[in-house]
Amino acid sequence: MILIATDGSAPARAAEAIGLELARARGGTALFVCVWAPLRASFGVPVPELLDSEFVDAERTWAEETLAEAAARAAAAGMEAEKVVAKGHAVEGICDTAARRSAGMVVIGSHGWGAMMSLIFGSTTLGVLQHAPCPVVVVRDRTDDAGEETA
Amino acid sequence: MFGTIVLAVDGSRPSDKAVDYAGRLAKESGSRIVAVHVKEIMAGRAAGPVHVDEDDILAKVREQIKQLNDDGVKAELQVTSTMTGGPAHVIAEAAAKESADVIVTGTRGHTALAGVFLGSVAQRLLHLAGCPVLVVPDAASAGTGATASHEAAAVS
Repeated sequence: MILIATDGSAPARAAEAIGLELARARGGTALFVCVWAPLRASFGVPVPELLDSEFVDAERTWAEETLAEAAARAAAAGMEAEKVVAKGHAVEGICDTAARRSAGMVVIGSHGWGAMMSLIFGSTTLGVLQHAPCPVVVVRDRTDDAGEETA
Repeated sequence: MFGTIVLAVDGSRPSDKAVDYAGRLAKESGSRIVAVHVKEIMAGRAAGPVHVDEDDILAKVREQIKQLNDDGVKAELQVTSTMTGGPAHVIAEAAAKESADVIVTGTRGHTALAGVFLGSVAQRLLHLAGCPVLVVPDAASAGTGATASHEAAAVS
């Protein structure tokens, strides 16, 4: 079981490709995980979902669509993939799922939508490196390497 | 799928985990391992003096590579020393030269600051590497997921 963390960003797409190859090579299954977070208002106070169901729905729908797109790409590559939508903190969602499903590996992009280009590593990726119950493969999106020396 | 694995080694405990894991990975996918050991000038840092004998490290690392070969894994060792750039540069360069498909590393080596989870070399590697970087966790329970039997169990 190869867990592929995705948020649809370019590095996540690169991770997806590597993760699918790994799953294929090892004869295992691929498991896509996308985590969405309920909106937080100022000072981190959660917005009551009842008041903001429209936004909550939008976030959840985004996660479901992101996973559906990833699974469609996997299917096009001849791979079957499972999908898990998790709600809450991204690091927790990814690592808990990895533990629960006894993933052999987690594959993740170097950063998601949040980070500024490739200059800083995504906090989600660093958090997953720290808390994952299994080895983690960090994949960079080669197309955004322009400003970075690659030896 | 990993034809060539570049393995960062320094004889530390996290590095041992990486060696074990890379060995299993290589067996699984018939990969070639290029282990890279960078001799560092070790000064005492915030973690206190580092009492590690480079000769002992080298002997240990050589033994690990020999063990891999004995286990049927095609593995070679490259030993370099660096005064400039640092180990991460050397490892990333080796990976580029060997057209590595992945770099396997532990979370931290001998010289990591106490309390730091991800050592500076591993962090720099994430930035410098032109290929995916596989970080093997240090936790005792981790890493067992690589075995074929486990993979089969997860599928069934």
